[in-house]
Amino acid sequence: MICQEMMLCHLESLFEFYENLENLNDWSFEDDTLYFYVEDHFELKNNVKAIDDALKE
Amino acid sequence: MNAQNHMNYLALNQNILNKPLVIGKGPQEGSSETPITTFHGLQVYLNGTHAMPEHEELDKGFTIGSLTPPHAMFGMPGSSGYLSYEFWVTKNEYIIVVRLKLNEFTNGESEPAADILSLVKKDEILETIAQNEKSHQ
Repeated sequence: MICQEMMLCHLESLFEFYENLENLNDWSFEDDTLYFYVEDHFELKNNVKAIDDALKE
Repeated sequence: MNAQNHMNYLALNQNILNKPLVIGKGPQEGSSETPITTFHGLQVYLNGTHAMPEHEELDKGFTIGSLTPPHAMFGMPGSSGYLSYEFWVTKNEYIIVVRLKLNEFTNGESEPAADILSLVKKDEILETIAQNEKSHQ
């Protein structure tokens, strides 16, 4: 969990201008722990956005 | 440092660690003294954002993974690069190290540039996290 939270801080800035995983078509990933963190990052990002949108309505 | 290795170093600092390049000074280090507090209350120092604390010698480490961004370096031509991440434990800290090597087709043969990406001081970890077994899995 410590490693994941440390990576999520970085992924937030690395993927600041990407909305979701589908936007990373030209990026290459390996089937490793890092990819799991990337998936987790976008899941969290989309959840936060959904809550944000719901609050605006 | 040869030109190809220097390009790796510049790309890592500018495009991955978000450090502005200043004439006569090189990459500008982060200056914030207050670490980021994560969802679970972890205090994280990010290279490029924070003044990075001193750390002990790297002891045990493992690979987290790697990815290839298509634009690791902007230019004419730009270049993709191979980014890899490692998690390290020291006596007093947890550290993530990042390495970047630009595509050999555009940059030529080179050694990857490496730097600390983020750091957590063990003595700043909340009791609740430290005692939770899942934190160390």
